[in-house]
Amino acid sequence: MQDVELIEKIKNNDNQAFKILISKYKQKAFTIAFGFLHDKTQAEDVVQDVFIKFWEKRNEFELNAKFSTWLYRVCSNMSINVLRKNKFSVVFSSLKIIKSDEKDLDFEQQIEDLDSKTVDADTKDEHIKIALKNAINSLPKRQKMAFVLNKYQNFSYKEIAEIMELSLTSVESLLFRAKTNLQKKLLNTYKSINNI
Amino acid sequence: MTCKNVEHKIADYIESSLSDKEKLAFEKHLLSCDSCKHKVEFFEKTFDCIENEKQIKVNSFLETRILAKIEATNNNKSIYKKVLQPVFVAVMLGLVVWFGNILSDVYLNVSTQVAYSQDTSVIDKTVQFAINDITYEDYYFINSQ
Ligand SMILES: [Zn+2]
Repeated sequence: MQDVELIEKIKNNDNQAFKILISKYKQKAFTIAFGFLHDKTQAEDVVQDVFIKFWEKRNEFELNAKFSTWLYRVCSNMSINVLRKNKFSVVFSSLKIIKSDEKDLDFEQQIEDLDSKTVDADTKDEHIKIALKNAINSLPKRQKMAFVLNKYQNFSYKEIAEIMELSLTSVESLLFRAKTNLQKKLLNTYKSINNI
Repeated sequence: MTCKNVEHKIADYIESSLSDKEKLAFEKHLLSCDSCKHKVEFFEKTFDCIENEKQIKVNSFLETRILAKIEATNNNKSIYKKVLQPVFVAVMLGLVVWFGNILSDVYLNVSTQVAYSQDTSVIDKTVQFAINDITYEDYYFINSQ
């Protein structure tokens, strides 16, 4: 059944149609959320919230809009919001630890410090996971979104442009900058792990 | 190719987006430079990590979970409508009646006292002693006789 037909049924409060729609897209939405969050529970919560949001707003959803595009956009934005909350709680807990004379350190630096402490403590495979997570997280919002959509879902530049409501050239430029920044970040992490 | 060049091209190498010529020069450098070889291995492992993360499966009962959550929200709303809302309305009505009673008592009391103190002619006709000596109850008692 096509998405349009499903959505039409959902607008008439058809739970079964909604269930089919979730089954069809939950894995893709989850993989995207995981690309941002790297945590199964948090990623599933985001997917759940996106679908609940859709259910609540189902009557406002325009039938000629592409559901998948909407879903991936909202899923990415919600994941970024969760990341922001996580970052805030990391900063908040690190603020409790740091001494009063270090209070002028900027938040990014504190996260970096916290990251390198975590890296020291964990095993080698964990290093890699944490390095990847930190590298992706360090990207600016739009670069991060373009990167996750491209690497975790293999979306083409055109698809990413639709989801992010940007031009093809902007997407190209975002992905180029994301790659350069990730490379820099990963090299720095590699050097700090190996004390180079 | 120098170590610096290799560092700049690692991501492109991993993504297989180097030209054949560049790829050859890149790999030739790795054969003679352990430091760069380890860097590339680190990058390869990191990018493999993305591939591993992509294989992680979502909870197979997620749709049931979502529908249950929606159902629970609806139930909460209907519990409010069916039970809590009438209870709330009843309590509010009770409060209004109770408050109304208090208000009317106060009004009665005040107006009685006003009548009691102002309409002295009635009292004068009925009783002969001083107004200060009779109580509220006395006034009703006297009037009812
Ligand atoms: Zn080298």
